Amino acid sequence: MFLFWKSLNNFGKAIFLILFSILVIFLSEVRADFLLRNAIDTVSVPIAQLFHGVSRRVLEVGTFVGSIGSLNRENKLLESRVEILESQEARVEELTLENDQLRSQLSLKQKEGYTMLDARVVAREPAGVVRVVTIDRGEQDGITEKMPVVVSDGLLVGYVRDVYSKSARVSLILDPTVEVPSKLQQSRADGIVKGQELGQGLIMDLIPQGVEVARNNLVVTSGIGDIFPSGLLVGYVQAVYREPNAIFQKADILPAVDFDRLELVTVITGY
Amino acid sequence: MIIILIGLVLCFLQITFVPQVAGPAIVIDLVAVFILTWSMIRGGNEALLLGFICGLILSPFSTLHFGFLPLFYTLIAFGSSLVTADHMQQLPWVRIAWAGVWCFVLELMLYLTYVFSGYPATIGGYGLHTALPRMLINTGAITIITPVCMLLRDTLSHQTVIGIKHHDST
Repeated sequence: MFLFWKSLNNFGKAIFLILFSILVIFLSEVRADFLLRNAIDTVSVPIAQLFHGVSRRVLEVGTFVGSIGSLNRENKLLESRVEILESQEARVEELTLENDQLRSQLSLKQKEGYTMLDARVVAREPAGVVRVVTIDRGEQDGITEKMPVVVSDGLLVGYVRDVYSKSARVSLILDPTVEVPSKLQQSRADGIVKGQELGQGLIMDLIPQGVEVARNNLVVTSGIGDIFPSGLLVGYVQAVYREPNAIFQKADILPAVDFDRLELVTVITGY
Repeated sequence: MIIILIGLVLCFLQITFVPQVAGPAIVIDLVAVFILTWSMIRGGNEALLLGFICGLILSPFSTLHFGFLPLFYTLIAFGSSLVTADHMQQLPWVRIAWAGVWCFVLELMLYLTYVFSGYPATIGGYGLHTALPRMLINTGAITIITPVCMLLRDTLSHQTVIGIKHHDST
């Protein structure tokens, strides 16, 4: 093989590699590429995990070093803010109570009824176009396709798109190919939340025209369809678009999850 | 071998470090930048294998069908090697333009593959928000790192010559 490779000129090598790539694409099309996929996946995921951990530490150190100069100024600022915060303590208690009430309304505590599996985000899509992340749990851990993925108390992240032996790819709800049947928590009106083109935000479509939609209304999953259970928090309404002659209205949604800081996620394996 | 190792390190940086730094902004394609640069200064021989292997490593993390990334990286490695830096030593602007052409070809291939796979991206949206900025970033990066890679190439060649001389003398 090595001698064959050495005997080829540049053009021959290019043709050989291009033909090989096309063969792999065909194998992939008929899903016969699993051996190659799993082999590369098994080797590359632990390395990606290592790189992810190291790059996280490097960024943390970088952020810390960058902040040293402003620490003194921040200290003075913080001292003055302590006084303000003390006065706000009472209000925080009130908000905590309100928060608990909202959570119970959202049925987020139903997550005790779910079977869940924690996973770590180890990589992201290389081209950065499609909003997909790779997690370090796969078929061997009981992950199957179309399982919902959340963070913390039930904030919706996305769903499992592809599963390999030791890893899985998760499509984020920011991706325009993902549609989440949702409802407005206050008005109970249904709609569909999906990513805007190139993952630049979320939009809720198909909201009936007569429904009153206000800024900061909560959007939760409706449970329609076979992927997402009901009551998972999707985001908050940011802006509403009404047109007099349209049947439906649209709303910009601010996601509840910071997708750029995703590290630990939870896969709902049963509900 | 060293070049392949550097390529592999760049692959893993591409899927871990770069997205964390860039956040929602356009991400540079480190692998494409390195392949194009290496291909132009050293010719296609190493760049072809580099492109193919990097494409294979990145494939499981991509949403494209397995095999598309090796194909694209191999193609740009071959295409860009048709005119090497030695040919245009006197014409740096041609070198930058040539790198830009292959960055454009890569973006075009990616766009077409996404669209044919059913990904909803309009040519205007994709072009303005993704392809054009990334093309500029990649081409700019190639312009900057080409001298560094040339130095690396010269160092590697120098080491090889020393190694051969040492072998001869013993």
